[in-house]
Amino acid sequence: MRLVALREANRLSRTIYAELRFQAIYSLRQGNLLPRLPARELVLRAERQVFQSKIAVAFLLGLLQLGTLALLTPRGELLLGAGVPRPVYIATVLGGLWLIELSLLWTEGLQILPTFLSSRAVSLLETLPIDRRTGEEASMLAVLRLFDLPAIVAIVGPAFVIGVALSNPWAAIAAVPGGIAVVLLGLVLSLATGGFFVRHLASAPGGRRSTAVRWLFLLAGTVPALGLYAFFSFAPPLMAALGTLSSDHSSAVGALFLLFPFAFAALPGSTAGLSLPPPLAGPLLALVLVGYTAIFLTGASWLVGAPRRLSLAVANATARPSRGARLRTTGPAWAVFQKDLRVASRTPGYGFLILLPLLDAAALGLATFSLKPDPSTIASLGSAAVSTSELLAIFFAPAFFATEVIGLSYTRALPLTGRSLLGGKLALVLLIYLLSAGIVLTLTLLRLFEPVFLLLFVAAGLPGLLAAACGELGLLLRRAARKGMVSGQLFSGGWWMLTVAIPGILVAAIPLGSYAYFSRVAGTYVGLGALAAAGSVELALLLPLALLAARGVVT
Amino acid sequence: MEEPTSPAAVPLAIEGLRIEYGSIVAVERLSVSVRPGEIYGLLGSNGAGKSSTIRSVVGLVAPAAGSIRVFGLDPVREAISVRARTGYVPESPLLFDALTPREFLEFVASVRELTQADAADRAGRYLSALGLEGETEQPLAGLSMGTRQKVLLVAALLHRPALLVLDEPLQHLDPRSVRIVKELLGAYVRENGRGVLLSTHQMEVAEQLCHRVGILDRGRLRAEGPISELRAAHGGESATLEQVFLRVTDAEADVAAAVRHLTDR
Repeated sequence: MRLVALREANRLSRTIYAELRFQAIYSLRQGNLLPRLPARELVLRAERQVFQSKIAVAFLLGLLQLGTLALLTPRGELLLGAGVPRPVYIATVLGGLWLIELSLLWTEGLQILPTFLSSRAVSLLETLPIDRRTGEEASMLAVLRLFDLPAIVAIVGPAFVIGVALSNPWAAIAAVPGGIAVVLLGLVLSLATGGFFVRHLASAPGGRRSTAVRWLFLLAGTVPALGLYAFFSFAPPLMAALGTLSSDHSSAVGALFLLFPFAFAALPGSTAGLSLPPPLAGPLLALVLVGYTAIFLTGASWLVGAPRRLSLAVANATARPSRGARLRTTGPAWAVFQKDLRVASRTPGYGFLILLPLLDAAALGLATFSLKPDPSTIASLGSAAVSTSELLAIFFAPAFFATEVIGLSYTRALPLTGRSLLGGKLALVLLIYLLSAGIVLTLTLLRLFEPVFLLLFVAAGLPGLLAAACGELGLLLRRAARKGMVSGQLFSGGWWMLTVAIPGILVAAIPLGSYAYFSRVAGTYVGLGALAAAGSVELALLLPLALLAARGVVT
Repeated sequence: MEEPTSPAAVPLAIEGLRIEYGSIVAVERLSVSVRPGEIYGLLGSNGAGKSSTIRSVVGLVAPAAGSIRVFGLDPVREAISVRARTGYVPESPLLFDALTPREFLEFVASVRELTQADAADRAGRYLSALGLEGETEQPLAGLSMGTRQKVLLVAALLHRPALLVLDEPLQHLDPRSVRIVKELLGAYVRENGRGVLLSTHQMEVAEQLCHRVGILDRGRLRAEGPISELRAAHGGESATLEQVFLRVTDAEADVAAAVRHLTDR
């Protein structure tokens, strides 16, 4: 009987998934316009683009796993893990890989969630004569289908890597439970934090205080990503500390490895016959793993009902009374900018795209701060701050543009000019650049007080940043005018986001390269002039093209 | 004899419009106009081509053939000018779910470059009239379809457009709001040669509101004129607009057959 119900849930989930895929690409329920193509072509295109995006995420995971494999070679171990006992080193690297995968899956989950919720698929399911359990399972299976390929790669990849590194197939098999736990936790975190954001952000009222609270909540949500970034950036000092700890207090290291996901990461080495530090030996590790398994099984059981509960909570949200409205008007470009910030503040997928570059900048600034830089390095610190801020702002820009899918069928009926649209989007990229650079430079200035010099760097980097943003927006707008607008998130637009972000980064890299060359041959100030001049030339070339492309979309 | 009107004074003139979606022809050889001071109703069944026509007027769909002029302007080539003169309410109130009505209206008013005083004054009056004052700070996602439609109506009226283009504007509204909107539209077109084009499949709405109607069937205009004239031509003085509609679209026999099919055991 249960099997029949499960089969029914699976069948329903296929239909829901087809709808989710369609909505992810065309965002019709978010007010986008459907491209004028035959129905069959529209469906095939959605199928193809979603698959491409899954491949893009899986490819990214694969690259990380290849990097991990390189770290597990004797040369990698010598480079990063000198002094660290081999089993500890292997478990640390594998645990680190799992933490990064967890962060990626979590981010992907938060990006996908609005598509899932806005599809109203669960509300439709509620009208069918099926029992509640089948409805929950169908919703959950549909969510799982959204993650399938990245999840498989996240489970199989590390197992393959560890199997090759230890030349032991049993070690590979022993890495599978950890991979499953990571995927499960990624889903739980996506839905749990997604649920929290939907309750506290998506339905939060307007007003300045509420806006500030929303951004604080979003910021709190990105802190784990900062922790992972720090783990990534500070891997060498962490490994060095681990080496010292291993020789002096091996039991302390062992205790650290009782934490998730390192306990799971200790399992493959243990299977391959490597001896672990004392507290990790046999029974205790087994006990800890049983404990984690129990927690994850509880999480899995919670997970089955979560998508349905979350969807119904959104569908049944009720309005709270307010005291009338006093409108404040601005210019059209500023209105686009303000609208995007407001949408982002209630949509975690977009909000995180603004906050992640800022947190990355904070991590970079902290790293600089902790290194106690020498005054002679001020030029390289300035250029590093500007380049990083520029590249971060440029990498995320395509996704900001894609907020235009929301309400497009309405906004296209407004007299919004291409210039205003472009101005609003450029303002957002500029904001991220200035905030990122501001964070890095503030932290740098605490060590080296050279404000004028560092501000010169930021100003000289501006034309190149705007040129790169214009290049990206031009490509996106041209594509939108020809093929229709596509939302920009990892799930639906991952592939084309890369095809736009890479040329953008190249445009940004030319002025930075000019700076590097001229500052070496003629000094820092000439280099700064070259940075500004190369960026200005690019901007003069790309701005008219972007404006032309913007005209094509708004008219 | 009627005075010839300058094209720049005619709210809407559509000539020989054809709209295609791939191989599907949604509208074929459609010619209608909205005169100054007139509410023109497009009537039709689902899929008759009403929404496609409306969307082409506001520039969301490019015609495959024919011409559209809004106060003499082309909605495709002079899109911004046309959009500045029109107010639009789409059939499905799908918009920025993450914005509150206040934030949404601020966006619309800013894009339309209204002064703060005008925007605040007009929004305040429309919101109050439609009973929306208490719902301006809740994101649109949590509001009912009717409330969202009212917000769209306010947004369409904020800049006092010369042409209002409304796609099924009353379908989600409560009776109180329907009455208010009907009165509002009646008064609206009496000023400064404005016009309203609305689509509906609710016959009583068309009957109470429209000076002229055009009956669309499978993308083609089957009949057009004041309702009294259509009655006289297609059913007699006592005929309801529904009877006229069914007769014009040759649907009477279909309806009778469908009812027989459903009720026969």
